[in-house]
Amino acid sequence: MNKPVTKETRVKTEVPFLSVNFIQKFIYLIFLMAFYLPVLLVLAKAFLTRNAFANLGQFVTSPLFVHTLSFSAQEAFLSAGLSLLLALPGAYFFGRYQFPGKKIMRSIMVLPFMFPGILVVLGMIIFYGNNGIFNHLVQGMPWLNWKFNHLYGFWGIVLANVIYNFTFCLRMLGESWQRIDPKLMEASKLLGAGPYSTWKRITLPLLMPTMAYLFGLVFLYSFLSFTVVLVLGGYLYKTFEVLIYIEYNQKLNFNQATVIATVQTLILAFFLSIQTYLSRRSRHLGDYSPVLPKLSRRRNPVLCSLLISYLILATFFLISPFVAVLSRSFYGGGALENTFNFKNYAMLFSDQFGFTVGQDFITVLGTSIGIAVLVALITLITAYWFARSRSRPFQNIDLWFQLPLGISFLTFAFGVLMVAGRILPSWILVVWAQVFITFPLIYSQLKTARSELPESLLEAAATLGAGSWKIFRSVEFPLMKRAIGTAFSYAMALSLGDLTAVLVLGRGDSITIPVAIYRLIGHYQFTEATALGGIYILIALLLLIGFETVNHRDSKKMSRQ
Amino acid sequence: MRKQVFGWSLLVLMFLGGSCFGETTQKQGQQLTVYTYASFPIPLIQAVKDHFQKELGAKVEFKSFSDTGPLFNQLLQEKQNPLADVVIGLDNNYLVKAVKYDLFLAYRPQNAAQIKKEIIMDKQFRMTPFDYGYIVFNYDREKLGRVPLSYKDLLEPYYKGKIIIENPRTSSPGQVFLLTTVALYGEKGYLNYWRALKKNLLTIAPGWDEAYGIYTNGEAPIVLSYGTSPVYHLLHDHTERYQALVLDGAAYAQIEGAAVVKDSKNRKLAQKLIDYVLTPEFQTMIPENQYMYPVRQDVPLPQSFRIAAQVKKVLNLPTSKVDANLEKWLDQWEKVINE
Repeated sequence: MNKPVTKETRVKTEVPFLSVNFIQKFIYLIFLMAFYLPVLLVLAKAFLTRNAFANLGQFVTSPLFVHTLSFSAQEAFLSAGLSLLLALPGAYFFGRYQFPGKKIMRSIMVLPFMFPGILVVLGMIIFYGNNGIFNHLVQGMPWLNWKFNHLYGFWGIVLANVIYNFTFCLRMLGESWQRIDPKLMEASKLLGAGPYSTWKRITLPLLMPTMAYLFGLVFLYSFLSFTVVLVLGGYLYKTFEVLIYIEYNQKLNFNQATVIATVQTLILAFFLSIQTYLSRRSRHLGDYSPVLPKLSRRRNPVLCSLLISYLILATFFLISPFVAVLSRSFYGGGALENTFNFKNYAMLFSDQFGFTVGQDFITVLGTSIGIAVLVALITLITAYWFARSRSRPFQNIDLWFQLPLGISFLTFAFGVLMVAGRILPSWILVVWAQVFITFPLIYSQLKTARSELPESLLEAAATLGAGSWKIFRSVEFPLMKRAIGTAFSYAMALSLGDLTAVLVLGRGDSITIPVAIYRLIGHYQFTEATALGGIYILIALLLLIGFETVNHRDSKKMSRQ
Repeated sequence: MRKQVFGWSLLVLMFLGGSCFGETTQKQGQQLTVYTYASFPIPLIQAVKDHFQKELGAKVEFKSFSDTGPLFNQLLQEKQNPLADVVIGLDNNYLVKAVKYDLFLAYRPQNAAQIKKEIIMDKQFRMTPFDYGYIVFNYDREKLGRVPLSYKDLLEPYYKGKIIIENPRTSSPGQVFLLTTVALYGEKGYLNYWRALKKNLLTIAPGWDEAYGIYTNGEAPIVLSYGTSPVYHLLHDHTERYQALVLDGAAYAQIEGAAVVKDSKNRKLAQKLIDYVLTPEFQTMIPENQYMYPVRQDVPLPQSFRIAAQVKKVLNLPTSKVDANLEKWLDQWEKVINE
């Protein structure tokens, strides 16, 4: 008797297949276990030893802790602030206007995110180094009497982090801005408010949740940065991630590494809960208006020239390191060093590549794309499923889904090896770890987007008798398509760019492009590595542009219907 | 409902997939598992595989780790029930630790008599050397006007911002250079040397990759690298622009070893692998693939090695002394760097 009754109430109260039941709870649990079981095992192993808590106390009171915390917090704060500040003017143009090239620029903005750390550092050195392109240009202006020699130090670290995160901020902030209803601003204008007070009272508060979210995210990524801090910091600066690496890899002191990782996670959990709190306040950005006014040179010449100068400056200062890596790839080593040639690219398809990397180029490419698609699909499906469910079977579930951002990856990977290192093939371990890396970002993106979807629409469709699958396919999916597309491309980008998970868990069986780059560099083939980086950018760009085009075409079809 | 079904079937598939693959990797028999680090040259791995396939009908599987630290950690974790039969690529600085934890089985290989005497790191052969090299500075002939001759010369103001080294905490060449300074100036003097050297460093890179990348991009003309690095540029770029710099004619040696894992289930086969890496066939391949020196006395060096570092005096510290003090030296070094 009970069964039909519950079914009916379910249809009435919410979209049918969202109900909390045993199975849903079970899947949540499985997912949380996949994230936290490895970490808990590592924690148990470390904290069941006798001195763990004494070591914890000792570490937290040591000067090393104070130095590391203050450096990481300063560097991360500046990186996050500057990234946002520099992204803000661009976000305005991207959010408010339509202009030629916008779509391609949107795709390009994902690229820095997927660049392997070592290539970013090489790019920084080629462009901003003592002997770099930037300084050669400055030397051409003797009246300036100045040279940029701050790359190896605190400001170099901040600059690298800004370069890493700036485009991501620009794109996310622009998308948020686009969702603000322009009528609000018009109304404010009609009521006699000047542009400044409209900005302060209307736009800024509406952008605040996204800004808080982005600030938190860049802060976290910079707080955890590793390669950049080690290469440019000259060991005068350390993040907690560096300390963990040294304890684990060099001192072979597993327990101390875990103690430091725990401290790091606690600090970041604190920041994350502030961030969750800030971005929870005022969530609704207003209705989404996809038709933007075209920016024309005749009607708004001032805005146009502002946009162009912004783009030129941003490209010059922030995108050039990536361009520098690309241009270097066309200059082979040795005798051909100063002539434009394709020697490095030819090498990628020769036997030499297989000798160095262990697999041929096509296999490496296939593995990379295969793993990335798998990771993106798993992350996207689960994250979306969790994001759309309105019920929260466990308290603070959002924080639990965000927390992997603050967990030291080495700790997690170590736990994965303990749990399943012997029974699962390495590629599954890699996929598992990459889902762990990508999930928090994708989940929060989708959840924000989903929370802006008017629930009344779905309810209306349900009342009109549409089945749950039909509602999803014909109402929800078209509205969410852009957000899903963005999330998918970021998930793929993160997976394609990941080196650590593949290197630590792949055991040499799974070779992806970043691993191949790493191996080429390890065997003196720096210029060949930049060529591989070039091909990698090209493929990623094709994938991303293809994605945006499909997205765009479909949404056009939609609006015509 | 469909979503749930999908979720379930995905999970079931993953478990099924996992268990099937799990079984295939656990299959026993004439199969050898070798642990090494990620940048171990593929041609050498292929040579081992081919030899075992052809001569013994056995399959050899290589598992690689991001670096020797994680590799050693894995061996420790698996001590009770090891998966690996052989380990290739741990260097002399791991010997004492390996002996302390009793990780390896002593095995005197058939060709032991052919190994150069000064290279043998363990008389009981718990680790058998198969190649070695020197950690020295390299310089760019086109960028450096005044070539230093001694370690003292590096301290002159002329070299300010011209030197890149690797971090002893995170890189093995870096660690060997720290030992070089201890060997040269003793426990009392090495810190003073570092205090002075610190002023001339452009940066302390985390690993060889980054250091050498910065160097070949022309950021600084002197880098800490291998004595054989110029051989690579001679062979592949046909240039002698990059030169090895043997200061005071002295350098510290890094010796790479191979070892049979204790409690290996394929001990006999594992020992055959140790024999194989000492055959002339394998040793001849080492110079131009691994850019290290072969350990056999009777294997001639290729022509390209004329440009490699000419070391007159091999520096050395007893491995037991290194193991007892390394942590202390590193801590003191770190303090000086951060002063």
